[in-house]
Amino acid sequence: MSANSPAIDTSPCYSSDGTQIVFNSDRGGTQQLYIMPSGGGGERRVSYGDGRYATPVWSPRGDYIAFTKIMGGSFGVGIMRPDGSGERLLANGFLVEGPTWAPNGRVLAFFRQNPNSGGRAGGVSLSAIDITGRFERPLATPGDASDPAWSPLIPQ
Amino acid sequence: MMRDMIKFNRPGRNKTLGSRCLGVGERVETERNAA
Repeated sequence: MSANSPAIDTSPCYSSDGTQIVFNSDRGGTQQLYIMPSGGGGERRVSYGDGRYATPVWSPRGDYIAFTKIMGGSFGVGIMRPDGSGERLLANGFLVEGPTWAPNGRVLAFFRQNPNSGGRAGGVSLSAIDITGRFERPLATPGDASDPAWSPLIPQ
Repeated sequence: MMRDMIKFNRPGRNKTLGSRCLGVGERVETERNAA
């Protein structure tokens, strides 16, 4: 991706049309989101907020990038436009990360880990939330679950 | 007729506090959306 940079570049994700890649990098001193053409070159920074940004995921419609944001000791899941505008945090907590897009591009799934009674990491579960930031609901799984990945629509 | 699925990891039974030691990836249908 960026072989000549001493920075750490991770978490690449293609845009839905395959022409661009979003990734995170610490090249600017803090971990932020960058976009580059799939063919290489022309990297540009798109996030400028406080804290660290991770796990960027381009929406199926190409209109948003979802991300995990770590700031002030807490985690959040949010979205922004591919040009970096319109950043909004949709959910936050002790550990909230790993957004993945529903095929309709209007719902995100992610995972939460709440602290136990001792303040340490407790159970892990999946949630879904509308990109409006409303209607967060749990996704039932047989036990603890993390790192969700939502499929495209599958013909039956 | 179309449907969608979510795959996820089940955290390992031997995970230590404060770390994420993931078990084998699983694929379980958790939600369906109409196309």
